[in-house]
Amino acid sequence: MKMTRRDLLRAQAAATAAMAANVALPAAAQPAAGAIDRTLKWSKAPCRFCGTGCGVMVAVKDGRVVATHGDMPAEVNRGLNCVKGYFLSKIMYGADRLTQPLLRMKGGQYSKDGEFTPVSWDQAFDVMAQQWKRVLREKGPTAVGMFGSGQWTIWEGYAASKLMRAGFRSNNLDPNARHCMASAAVTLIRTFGIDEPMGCYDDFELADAFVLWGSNMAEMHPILWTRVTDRRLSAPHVKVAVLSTFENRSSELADLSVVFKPSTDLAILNYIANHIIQTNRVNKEFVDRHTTFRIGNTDIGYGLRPDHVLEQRATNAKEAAVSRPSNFDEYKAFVEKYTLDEVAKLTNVPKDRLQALAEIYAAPETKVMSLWTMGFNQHVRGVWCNHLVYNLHLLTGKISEPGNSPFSLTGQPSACGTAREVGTFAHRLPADMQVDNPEHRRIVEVGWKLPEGVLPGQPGYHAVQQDRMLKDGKLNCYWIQVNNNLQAAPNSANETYQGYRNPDNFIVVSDAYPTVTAMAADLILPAAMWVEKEGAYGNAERRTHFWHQLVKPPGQARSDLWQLVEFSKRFKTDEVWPKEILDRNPDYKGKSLYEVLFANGQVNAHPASSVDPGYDNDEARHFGFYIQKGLFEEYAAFGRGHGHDLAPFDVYHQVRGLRWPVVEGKETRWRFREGYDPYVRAGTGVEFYGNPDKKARILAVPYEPPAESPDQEYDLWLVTGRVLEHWHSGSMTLRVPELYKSFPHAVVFMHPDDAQARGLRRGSEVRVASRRGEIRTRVETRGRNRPPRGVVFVPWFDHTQLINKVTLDATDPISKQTDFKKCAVKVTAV
Amino acid sequence: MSDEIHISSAVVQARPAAMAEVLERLATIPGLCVHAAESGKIIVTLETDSEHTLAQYLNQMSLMDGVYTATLVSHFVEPDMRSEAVR
Amino acid sequence: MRHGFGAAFAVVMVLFSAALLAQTQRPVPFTETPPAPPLAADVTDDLRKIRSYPDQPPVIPHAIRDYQIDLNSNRCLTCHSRPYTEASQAPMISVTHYIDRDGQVLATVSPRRYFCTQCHIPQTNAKPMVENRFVDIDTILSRQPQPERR
Repeated sequence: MKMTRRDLLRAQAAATAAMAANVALPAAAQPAAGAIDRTLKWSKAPCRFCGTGCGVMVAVKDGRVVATHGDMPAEVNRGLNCVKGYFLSKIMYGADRLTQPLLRMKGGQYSKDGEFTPVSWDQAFDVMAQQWKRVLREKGPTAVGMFGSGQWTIWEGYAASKLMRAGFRSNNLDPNARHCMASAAVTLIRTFGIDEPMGCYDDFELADAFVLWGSNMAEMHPILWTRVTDRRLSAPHVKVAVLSTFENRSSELADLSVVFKPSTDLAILNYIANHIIQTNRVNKEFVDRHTTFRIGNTDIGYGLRPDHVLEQRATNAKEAAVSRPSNFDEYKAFVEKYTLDEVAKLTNVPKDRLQALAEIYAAPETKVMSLWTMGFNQHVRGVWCNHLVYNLHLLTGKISEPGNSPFSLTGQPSACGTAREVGTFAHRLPADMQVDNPEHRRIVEVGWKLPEGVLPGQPGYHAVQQDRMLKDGKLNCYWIQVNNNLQAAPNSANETYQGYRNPDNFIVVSDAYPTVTAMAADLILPAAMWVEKEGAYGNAERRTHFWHQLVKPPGQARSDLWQLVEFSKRFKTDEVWPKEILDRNPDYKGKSLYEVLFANGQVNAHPASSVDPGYDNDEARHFGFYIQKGLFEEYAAFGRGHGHDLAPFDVYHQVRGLRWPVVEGKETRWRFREGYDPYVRAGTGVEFYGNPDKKARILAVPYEPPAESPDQEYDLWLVTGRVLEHWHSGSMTLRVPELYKSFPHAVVFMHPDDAQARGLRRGSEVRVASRRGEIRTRVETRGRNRPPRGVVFVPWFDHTQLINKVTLDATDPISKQTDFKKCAVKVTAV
Repeated sequence: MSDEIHISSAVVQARPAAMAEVLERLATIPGLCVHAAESGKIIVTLETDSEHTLAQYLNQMSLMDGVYTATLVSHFVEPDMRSEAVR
Repeated sequence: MRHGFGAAFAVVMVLFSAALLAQTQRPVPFTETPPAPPLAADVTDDLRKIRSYPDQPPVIPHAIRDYQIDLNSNRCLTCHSRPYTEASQAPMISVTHYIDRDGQVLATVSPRRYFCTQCHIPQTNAKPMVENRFVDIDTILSRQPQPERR
């Protein structure tokens, strides 16, 4: 009997329902032998895209992904996806998938100006190891570096951290999450002593008010936006306030829409604090019991190159992170000058809107959820912005309880789970430990079974600094995995590109597609994607979730994990560790880094036979042990008992993720609050146990102007960002025909009057230029983003319109995160 | 008049002791297939010619003796495929 | 003779253009500032496009410029929600849109589905930059050996 489409749909519908109900479809429902095998295997996975972390179900047939749908039991999204998630089935099938290592060669040898030539993995690693050893010999560990990713799986980031820090003894490991979450992470540690939000997504159904600070959730966290929409439209008393430097799709749901002058968010935050104090709505008991006050250094510079005049002039460029103890009265006096009149003038926001916004925070009964992403984080005072919003929640006690939630949203699927929790930043170790703390280094050395003194204590180069050091020839061997930094980094033509093409440097890029970064490399390594490998991500609400390998990667493509671990086999301790350490610990002599880091009795403790028999696991088969489980359990040991508890590995394959700390099988939804968080001692009510005194910090810092403002020649503010249809640099979404056709190229969103004043109309071809570079694009005056006069917006997904040639490499001096939202440009007709 | 087919699936939660009777009652709904039944949960698919009929059957099921809930899980609307075979 | 030459020339031109086209889809070298192609035209032929799998949200085959979806109104629902479909002859939004987060069927559209364009997107006539080799389930099944006919 031939199968009809109807049969197929019926089978699929039944499978979905069975999954939702956790019921096994019995054998009788399978087709009889001899008939066409119509069974689809459905398995759970997190979405590949943003930090929301939706659950999907993935259908595989004949070794290919043929369909996905939103996972009904997944708490995050309960069956919904956004349009990108609905096209996950197609992201691995772009025709130009990289399938072989490619090395620039001339005359049969590696040559920086050669043509990309297919080589074997052996040849690729031969050349790569040669380069690494040469540079380590000639210049030492500070000359090798790695740029990793918030899209790495947890074990990939962990393996990279081991290889870089314990293998090559270099802290020059930074993730692309430096561009998106550094300000948020640094502030959480400065305020609470421990990283990551204290609330969870459950707050969406419980809050009375939502305040979006420069975050366009409608396009960037669409499924979380459906939860805000649901709450707002179901409960009439709920209010939504959207603050941004331009009107966007999120503004469509706003009861209170606030468009402010770029950078003046700092002033608005201080005004609200002032309002709370002046109208006597400070929760005095909470403030006295659970907070202390500090006042921060000001005039801290802009993270530009040290010889830049702005850095020379800044009083505290070298002491940007320093603060001193303070008290409530000093704080009150500090914010007093942020009056309604002053701030309305500075920000261009009408007084009644500022007041309404302040009341949301001040009214004691209103449960408020503050939400922010790049507007705050990609800001030269990003750490200050993050801290000032925590101030508001701390002054009123509206924190760590259902509905009252300062919530830092995450951009990437595992910036939390990998980059932050595993510690793939230049200054971090696992579980919030820091490289420059000798006690922390010792704990990690012991956990990694390393001799004392192996781990380097000096923080390494962060993202923007890596580009500068590459250009200056101080960083010479560089491995880029799972990111498209030549498209993502600021001021790319003058810094990043110069660094990659510097003849002294050897650049390796692991990717699935020929991105602009890959094309600028010297060696390209083909990478496996998403469900082509067993993986784990951690989303914005601390939910760790796993997936199995479902299909094989194409050609010679291999997972980043495989690449990192295989590469470690090429090095012996004698080649990379100092003689003194080896003399003191002769047992380690002559061992390969692979033996010391991965076949160390812990990472290889679980047999390959313990992999779920229903699924492939190419890495376990290749290395001969369940490497993902070994890495995970070794890593989890650092956090268990220290507020970062992860459940046992096997549990995560069964459930749709769990929010840490997971203690005795129970996840934690609200941290620091007695009754919800097992680490809070009975009778205390609230404990910010990340800090030794168990209190959070309220910080007094002012408004300061941005690095580059519009002037006579460059008379417009440039804001960069994303659009719904494309994720990040578009390397995956641009290869899905429906997504491509929906938004094929970037545009410059402009106010129609600004266009007209320059002789432009919708569709005119223009140059968007700054002092650093330019792109050619088309004008859009009627789109989803409606900037005020004086502001333009360009998304960065388009590799034919590299807007980051135009942006400025100014960073928050404390977090080192680039400000992608503010620089000065001019727009002229071509 | 357009010929459409609505193919949907639902999870019916029933009193475990009443499973046999519930299955008998479900069999009276035209176009309904039972795919699995265990521990009080029954996976069914329905084929109807309109959403109105679908909603009616859902309602009917949830009101049956022994049934706690009938929850729709998937729903596909397709142009008439009665004559279609696999390509 | 002249026709033959013309035909051969035309073939050469087609091959040359194809090569050029293939090149324009290559990654653009970083140092170049390529011209920006004109804004692509929307596809508004009202024809339903095949979906790649049953759960794919259908793309929007008509213009949606200036369609408001905000606190005040939802333009899409004025044609696509149940009460209006007879007059509009627009496809009704699927019953799944009437189900809330907890799986309960509601009488009106679930608010979580309110912003249609989070899932449904229009298309332009832009040619995709690379081919996508996704294969749908029907094609895979049709490649399987057919059972013997009796």
